[in-house]
Amino acid sequence: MTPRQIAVRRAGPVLILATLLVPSIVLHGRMPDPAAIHWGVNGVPNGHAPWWVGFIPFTVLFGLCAAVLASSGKTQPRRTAAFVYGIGGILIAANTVTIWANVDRPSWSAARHLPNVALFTVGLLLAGVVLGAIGWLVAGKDPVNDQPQAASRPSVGLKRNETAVWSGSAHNWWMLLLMPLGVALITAQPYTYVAVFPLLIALLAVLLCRLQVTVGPTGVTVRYGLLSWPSRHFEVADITSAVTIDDLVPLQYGGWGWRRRAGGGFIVRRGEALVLHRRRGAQVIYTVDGAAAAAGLVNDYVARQASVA
Amino acid sequence: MLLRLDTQDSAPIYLQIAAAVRRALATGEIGRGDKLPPARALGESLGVNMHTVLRGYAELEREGLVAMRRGRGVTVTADAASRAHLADLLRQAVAEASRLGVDRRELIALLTQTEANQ
Repeated sequence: MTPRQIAVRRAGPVLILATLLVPSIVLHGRMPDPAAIHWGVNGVPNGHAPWWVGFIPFTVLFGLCAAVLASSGKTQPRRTAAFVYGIGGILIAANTVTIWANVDRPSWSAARHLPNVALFTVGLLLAGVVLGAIGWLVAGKDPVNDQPQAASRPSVGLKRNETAVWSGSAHNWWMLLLMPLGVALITAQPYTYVAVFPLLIALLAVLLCRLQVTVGPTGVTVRYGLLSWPSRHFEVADITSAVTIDDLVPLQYGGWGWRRRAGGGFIVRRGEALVLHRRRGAQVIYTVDGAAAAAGLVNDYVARQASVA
Repeated sequence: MLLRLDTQDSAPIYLQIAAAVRRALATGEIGRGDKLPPARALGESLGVNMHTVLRGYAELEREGLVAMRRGRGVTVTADAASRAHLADLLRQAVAEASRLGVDRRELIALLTQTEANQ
C-alpha cells in the first residue's frame, strides 16, 4: 500500500469527520435546543430534537463507513474510497444546511425554511457525487497483482483450433423460504409503513437462491438470482489465473450473498467455488458447481491471450 | 458443462452449437436431465444472437435429443446419450451416400435390407 493510498484511507475520512463535528460543536451555543432537524416538503421545519441528535447519528454512520474503508485492505480501495467519500459528502451537505437553518434562531420552529426542497435534495446528491469523484481521483489506480506462479493450474486442454463455453450454476432453494418468513415477521408488526421490509426480504430471497456462471472467449460472466439479473463480467485480460476451493464455508466469509471477504464475489451455498485472481484488485470468489472445469477453461483462455500478446 | 467448438468449422454457428452439444453427449459430459446453458448466456459468451443458439437447440429437439419447455429451459432427454452416437453414425452414412451418388430411395432400401439381415 503506497503512502498516498494510506492517506486516502485514513486522513480523508478523518477530515470529513472533523468537518461534520467541529462546526456543530463550535456553533451549538448559537443554535436553539431542541433544534430543527426535519423539514417538510414545503420547506417548513417540522421535526425537532436535542441539538446533538442532529449530528451524532450522522457521525456514527460515517465513522462506520470510514472503518469499512480503512479495513478494506487490497479489496478495491478505489471504489470503496469513492463510495465512502460520497457518503461523507452527502452527510456534510445535510449537516451544513441543518446548522445554517438553526444558527441564531430563537427556536426550532423559527428555523430558516428550505427555499426549495427539490434543489436541496439535488444539492445533497451532487455533494455526494463531487466528493465521491474527489475520493476516486485521490485514491489512484488499484495496485496491479503480479501473475502468481501457481503450482498446479487447472486446465481443460483447450486445443488451438477450439473455442469453448463453460456454463454452470449454484443453487440454494432454502433461500426462497426467506419470503414467507419475512412476511410472517412483518405481519406481526403493528406499523404499516414497515411493509417495505417484506419487499426487501423477497428481493433477497430471489437474489440469493441462484448464481449462474458462464466462461467463454469474452471472459467470465456471473448472473445473480432467479432472474439472472444483475450480472457482472470479467474480461480475460483482467484475469491472471483461476483456481478452485473445494469446500467453501459461507460463514467463514461473513455469510451468504455479496461478500467483501470474497473480493466482492457472491456466495450462495456451501461447497465448491471458483476463484478468479485479477490483475487489478483482489481475487474474487463465486460458488458454482463444477468449478474445476470453469477454472480450467479460464486458465486456458488466459494462456491463449498471453501467447497472442 | 463444457461445450467445445471447432473454430475451423465453416458450418453455420447454430449447427456448430448443435454439434458441440452432440459431442458433449457422446463423451458423457452431458447426461440425462442436464439443462443446456440458457440461450442468452451462451449467445453472449460466443458473441452470437440468442436466436442463433435457440435455432441450434431447436435442431437438437428435432432430433429428439433435448426437450424445450417454457420456463424450464432445455433439458437433455432420457435416450439422448444413446441417440447421439446413432445420430452421428447416420449423419456420416448420409454424407457418404451423398458422396457416392446414392439417392434417398436406394439408401432407404439399403437400410431396410441391413436391418432385415441383423
